[in-house]
Parts: sequence; structure tokens; C-alpha cells
Amino acid sequence: MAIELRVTLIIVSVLALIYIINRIRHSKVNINDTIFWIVFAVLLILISVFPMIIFFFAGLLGIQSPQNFLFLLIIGIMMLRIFTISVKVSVLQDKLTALVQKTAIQDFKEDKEKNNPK
Amino acid sequence: MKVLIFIPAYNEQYTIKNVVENLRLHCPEFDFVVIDDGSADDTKKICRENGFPCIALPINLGLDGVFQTGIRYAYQNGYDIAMPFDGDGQHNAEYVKPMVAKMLEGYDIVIGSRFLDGKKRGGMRIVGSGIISFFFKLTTGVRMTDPTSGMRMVNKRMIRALCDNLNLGPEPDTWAFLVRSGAKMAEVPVRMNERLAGNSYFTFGKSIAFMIRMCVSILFIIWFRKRVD
Repeated sequence: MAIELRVTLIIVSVLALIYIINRIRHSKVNINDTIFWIVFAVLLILISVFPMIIFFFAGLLGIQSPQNFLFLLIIGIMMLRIFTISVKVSVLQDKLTALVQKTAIQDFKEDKEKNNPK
Repeated sequence: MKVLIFIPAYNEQYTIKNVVENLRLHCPEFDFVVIDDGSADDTKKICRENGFPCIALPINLGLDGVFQTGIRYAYQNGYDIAMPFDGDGQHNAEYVKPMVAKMLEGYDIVIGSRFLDGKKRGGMRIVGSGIISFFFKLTTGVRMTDPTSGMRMVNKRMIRALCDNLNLGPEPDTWAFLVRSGAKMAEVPVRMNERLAGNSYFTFGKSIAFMIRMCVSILFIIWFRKRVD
């Protein structure tokens, strides 16, 4: 891997880490949601410092250039992340729908009771 | 002194009545409230029929959300001590009073520990628990033999902190963070039962994710968090 790419990766990862930690400090984000990004950033730093990891896996899969394997890895991880977020959104949507329906029905019941006192 | 025991219950129709009756038997002087986490079964109905006070969440919030509901209720009603007590029958009511007694010795957090008796145990859960204990000691300097115990009691100061902050779910990293913020924590030996019905929340995949989360949070993130008072 070219030294330029490695240095860029390290700088960007460290900046990303600083940004994430800053958000946590100000209690702007749920820690559980940042674990993924912290682990991901650390992984990128590890790969840039020890590119042998990438050489090994690229060789294993018969990929000529280690950079290509790096991109494949990042795309793979991103795909996984998008899928889990998509699942999360579905669950949230379901919950929101149920919640709205419950409040509306409750409102309706209260109105009915108000208009027809026994 | 006002003590609130809140009972998180998610689909516990078979056990909830027993749990509440046991609590009433062993500690009649403490207030309790069932928090029904949007159960799909008759948990809520059983509470209503038996006259148990019950906060029914309209949808399922999960462990963190239910815990916070109980804490918020305790905060709004000026309780001095709050503790969750499992609705599935895992916790034993006779240990509540010893925990309150320990609390009154001047602690902020009291944990009911299953591992204080010094017996050797095996199994994946114990290994995970041991790893978290080790990291806990590393960052806080305090020994916590049972970091994943569900029996935890907090005082007024902690109730306020837990209520105000986004990132304080009922998990080991929260206790580590609070201890580092100056909270005093103690453990009391307890015994717990095997669950009578229902499934554990933790599957294998979830356990691994949980371990990674706790390690990153206790070993790394904790150093950057602003302390609470």
C-alpha cells in the first residue's frame, strides 16, 4: 500500500475519532450508536499501521492489489451497516405507527365519554 | 425514607403475580410499581385485576427504556432509593432489605452480587462477567464481582444523575462511569433463581455485541466523558 494512502487513512481516522469523542462528551449521541464507528476507525488505523494484514487477506482471496481489497472490505462493512440501520428504521416505523394509533384511539374514547356522560 | 421497587415486566403473565406477592410478603413497607413494557400477553390485565400499581408503556421500549421509566417515576415522586426487581422471578425478595441496609451505611449504589460467596463457577456467561469485572477494576480501581447483576439499588443523587443523562443505561459501563464520577458502590451477596418462564434477552450474537460495547465503553470512552455530580 502506498505510504500516501496509509498516512491519509490514519489522519482521517484520527480526526473521525476526535469528532465522535467530542459528540459523546457533549452528550449529543448515544454511546451504543458510536461503538461501531469507534471500532471501524480503529480498524482503519490498524490496517494503515500494519498493512501486512491487508496483504495477507488479499493474497488469500487472490486479489492482485491490496488497495482493492481494502476498498472491498470497507464497502462490505458499509453494506452490513446499511442493512442493520435499515432494520432499525423498520422497527422504529412500526413502533411510531403503533404509538400514533394508540393515542388517536385513546383520544377518540375520551371524546366519546365526554359527549355521552352516563 | 421512601423506597421504590419497580418491576420491569415484559410478557410475564405467569410470574408477575408471584413476584409481587413475594415482594409484599418480604418488604411490605416499600412502595412498588410494575412497569409493563408493552407486553403482548395479559401482564397488564393481571396487574389491573389484582390491584397492583402498573405503569403500562404503550409500546415496547426494551431494557434501557423501562429502567429509565422507573428511575424517572422515582425522581418525580421524591423517592430516596430506587431499585428494579425482575418480573420473571429471578430475583429473591428477601435480599431487598439487606441491600437497603447496606445503602444506609452511606453508599450511592448497591449491587446484589451472585459471586461474592467465592465459589468457583464455569460457563460462557461467567467468562464474560469476569472480563468485564477485570476492566471495571482497571478503570475504576473498585472491585465489582457481578457486573451484569440485575439487582441494583441507587440513592437519590444517582436517581437524579440517571434521569438527566442520555448515556446512562442500566449497564456495567454506567456503574463504572458513576464510580469514576465519585459515586460510592458496594456489593451485597445474593442468590438468584433460574428463570421460571420466558426466554433470556441475551442470544449468542447479542452477547458478543454486548461484550464489545462494554469493553470499548469501559476501557476507552470513559476517559473522555464529562463527569456528573
